[in-house]
Formats: sequence, structure tokens, C-alpha cells
Amino acid sequence: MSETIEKPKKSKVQKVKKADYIPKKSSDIKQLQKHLELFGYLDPIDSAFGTADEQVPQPEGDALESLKSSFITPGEMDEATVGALKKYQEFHGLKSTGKLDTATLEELDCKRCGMPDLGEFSTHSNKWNKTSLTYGFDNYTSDNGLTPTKIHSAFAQAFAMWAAETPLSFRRVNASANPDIRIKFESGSHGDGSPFDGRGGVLAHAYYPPPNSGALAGDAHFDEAENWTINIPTGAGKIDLVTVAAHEFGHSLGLRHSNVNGSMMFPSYSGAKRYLHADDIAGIRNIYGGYSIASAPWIHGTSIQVEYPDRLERITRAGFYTYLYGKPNTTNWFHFAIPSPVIQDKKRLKVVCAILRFRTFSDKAVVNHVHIYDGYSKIASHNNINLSGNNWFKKFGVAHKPHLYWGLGISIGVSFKAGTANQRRMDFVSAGADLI
Amino acid sequence: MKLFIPLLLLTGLLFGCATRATTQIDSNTHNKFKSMERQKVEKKKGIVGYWDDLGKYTISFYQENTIDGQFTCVVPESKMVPEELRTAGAQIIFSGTITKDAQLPPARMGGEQVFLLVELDEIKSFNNN
Repeated sequence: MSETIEKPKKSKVQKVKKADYIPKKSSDIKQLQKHLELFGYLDPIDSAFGTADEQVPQPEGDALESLKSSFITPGEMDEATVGALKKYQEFHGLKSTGKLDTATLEELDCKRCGMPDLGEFSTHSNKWNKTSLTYGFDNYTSDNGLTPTKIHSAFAQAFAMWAAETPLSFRRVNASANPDIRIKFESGSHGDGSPFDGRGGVLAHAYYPPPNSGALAGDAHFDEAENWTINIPTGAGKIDLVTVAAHEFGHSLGLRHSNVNGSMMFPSYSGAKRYLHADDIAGIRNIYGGYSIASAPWIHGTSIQVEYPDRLERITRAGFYTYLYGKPNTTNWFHFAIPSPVIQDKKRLKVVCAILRFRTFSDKAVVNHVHIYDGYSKIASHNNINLSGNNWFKKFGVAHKPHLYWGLGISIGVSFKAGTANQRRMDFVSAGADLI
Repeated sequence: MKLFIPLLLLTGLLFGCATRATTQIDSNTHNKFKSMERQKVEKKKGIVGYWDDLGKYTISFYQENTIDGQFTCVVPESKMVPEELRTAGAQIIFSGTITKDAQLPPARMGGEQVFLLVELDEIKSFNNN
């Protein structure tokens, strides 16, 4: 007698088809956005400004569409989120639809190790056991009109990139004060057992943090045989000192090379870089963490002061931001005075960075310099930065993180080349600072 | 007879070590890493250095298209490098075999990779090339 096997009855409850799943709940979308941000697909800078209550300014004409895609609205499948999802799908070898299909959901369901997918940084095992570091110069180069003053400013700019993302501060001292990071320009054999190889070849080298390398730990040496400059464009055969310095200081702080092309710690030199990549930031924060903000004062773009109003064709204050058109072939300076609490909870605050939110509509309108002041004292210079396009959260660090006494000012040096009016347009949305 | 073969082997070993001493490391360290991957280096432009802490010469060569990438090869015996080239900063062309060795110190600088120079087949001043 054969055994009869009863087939299980079909469940009456129908499972939701993952292929059809579109997150409808705002909380689900926020989870997705958080995941995409955590793993490097959604720009964490943009997400800082995507509050549901924020009213996006209303710029003229076609600029509105570009502005929309730059902002992230938490809880909504907006353009930025869909774009980030497509990037995620592409990276994981999925069909880049921007939709949560079965394959994408399964991939998202997989446990991640917590390390950003796009983070290819690599860290040495050593790190500094203090956050206030000093640096000093044994000597200087005089290539291409470089002077000690210009070199001090250039290296402070390089250190400021790392200072703006970590609890670290970097203060210049005399070489005789036994700085943590000793800097020198040398050719050939120079006493550390690792000679330079002349023009071309190794441009510089830097030692990892203590305890390895003894007295050399953290030190950075630059090959004097190279042709150093701080100008942009650098010109043929010349090497940007700020970029190489920032790269070397990454090693001085404990970073190895990164696989991410475009990052500061990518091994190849491909011209001037004035900013850290998200991968660099992830790497250095992996070692030292971030900083805790005590105060973050901001001011609207409508408060901008123009040094040479006659060099503008037009300036309009719309809502809380300002848009202006520079006359062709002119330069100008714009200034923000940031209302700054210098003392809070009986403690005098320190400056970590200034932050700007602006955009230009072409490379005919460029931000060249950003200088940061405490009262009338300049505390940081970011020069030859050549910024154009959308810059919705651009940080400009202050390497030595000084105490604030008289109130922060930000001065922005700009240039306008010949072009259409729209090409010579700049929008300033707001300016702020992080204080600790 | 019982002793003949071991003696023969021992003799061969001793003579073998003696003939290789000028171009290879000693037999003890050789045996430790003979199973590790070795890489040939052919007519590379390099530069001689000297690590005080190890008391060893090094030959470093540049990793193309990098800011600071270099391979630093520790020379186990000074006599492998001709006396006239035993100067920090001497630019040379060399060929040989390198390998990783766990007993070597870690890289001291960003972009540096440290190897042991197992065999040095050829070395001459770069200026003479």
C-alpha cells in the first residue's frame, strides 16, 4: 500500500514581491539613505542640508533643476537618492535602475563589515598619541619665487586639510624647538639612510608616526632636485608643493596609499589637489576620529559684502541668498562677517574651519582664494584653490585651531573671465564655521 | 660506508655555500625563505642607501608614476656591493632577485616596500652605463 503524501496547502497570505517593492514609508527611505551615505554613495555633505523643513532657494531659470539634484530630502526618493542607488547598483554589478528590485534588496540585506564600499584607504598601525602636533622647517626651497613666508602658508594650507576633519591641530614652531614633524628640502643623500634620486623619480618621502623610525617619525623630506611651485596652473615640469605636502602629511599621520583615484593618498601625482577626497577623510577619521562641535555659527548669503561693487554687472539678494554677475576679466573680494560666540560655557572657543555654500555656473567664474580672519588677524589662507561649479559644503580648515577672540571673518577672492552673463554668475547661499 | 654519504653531502653543502657566498645570503637565512615568492629585478636604476639601525646597505628603486613609491632592498652582506659603490646616494643599475622577509623591519616611510636582496647578479654605477 503506497503512502499518500499530502501536499501542503497553499498559504493564503501572499508574500510581497520584492521586485515590486518601492519604499513608501519615509522611515524606510531614510534607512536606505543612511545606508547609502554610510557606504559612500550618497554625499554626506549634501545630506547635512536636506532637512525636510528647509526651503530651497528659488534661483533663476534652468539653474533650479541643477539645484534640486544637489539636495537630499530625507525620506524621499529624490534625484540625489536615486542617483546614489544607481551608483550602489553599478558598484555591486547590478542593473543600474535606481529602483529597489529583488537583486538590489538581496544585496542590501547582506551584512556589511561596516567599512565603506568605496573606502579604499589603508592605514599603518602607528598613530600619534596626542592631537596637538608641531612642525618646523630645517630649510626651504627658493624654486619659482618661493620664500619662507609663502612656504609657511602653503604648508599650513596642507595641514589645514587634515585639521578640518579630525581633532588634530598643527602649530608651526622653530626647528630648534624639536617639532614633531620636521620638514626639509634635500637632495641625494641627506642623513636618513634613504637618499633622493634627483629630478623625476621620488618627489618626497615621509615617515610614519612613532614609535617606528625613532627621531625621524613623522618627518617629511622634499627632494630639492624637483621644481616646486605653489602656482596653479603649475606649468610644465613643475610640481605643486601643497599637493605633495598634503600627501606626505597623510603618511606622517599614519595613512598608507589608497586605491581610490582622485584621493589625496592615491600614489600617483596627477596635478594640483587642494582638497581631501571622501576616502581620505574616511581614512584619517578611522585613525583619529572626528571632532565634537561646540558651536556652529552660520550667516545667510544676503550678508555678503562686496569690496569692489563697480566690478559687478549686477547683484541681487533673493530670499536669504545672493547672486551676482562679475564683469568680464575682473577680480574681486567678497567678505562675510560671522557672528561668533568667542566664549561659551565659560570656555573660549577655537576655530576648526570656515565653511562656504556657493556655486558658480561655469569655470569663467572662479573662487581663487579663501582667507579666514579673527578680527583683523589672518589665521588661515587657502590660495590657488580654483573652485567652480556646485560647492554646497566646502570646508576651509585652520591648521593650528587658535582660540577665537574678535569674531570670524571670511574673505573670498574671485575672478571672472570673459563669457556670457550666466557664465559669470556666482550664488552665495551661506557661510559658517565649526568651533570647538 | 655508513659515514661516506653523509660526509659527501656535508662536503657538497659546505662547498656549495662557499661558492654562493659572494652573491647570496648565507645558507641559514636562505633556507628560511626559499619557499617565499621571489621576484627578479632586471637592470633597474637604483640608489644605494644605508640603514644605521640595521647596519646594512640598501638599494632602492622608484615605483614609476608615484609621488613616493619605492622598493627598498636590504643587502644582507656588504661585500655584495662593490666597495666603490658603498656610498649612500650612489646611483646604480642592478639586476638580482628580491623577496619579502618577515625578519626585516616594516616600511618606515609612506609608499615604501621593504625586500631582502637574495641575489645580486649585476651592479654598476649608473654613470658608467
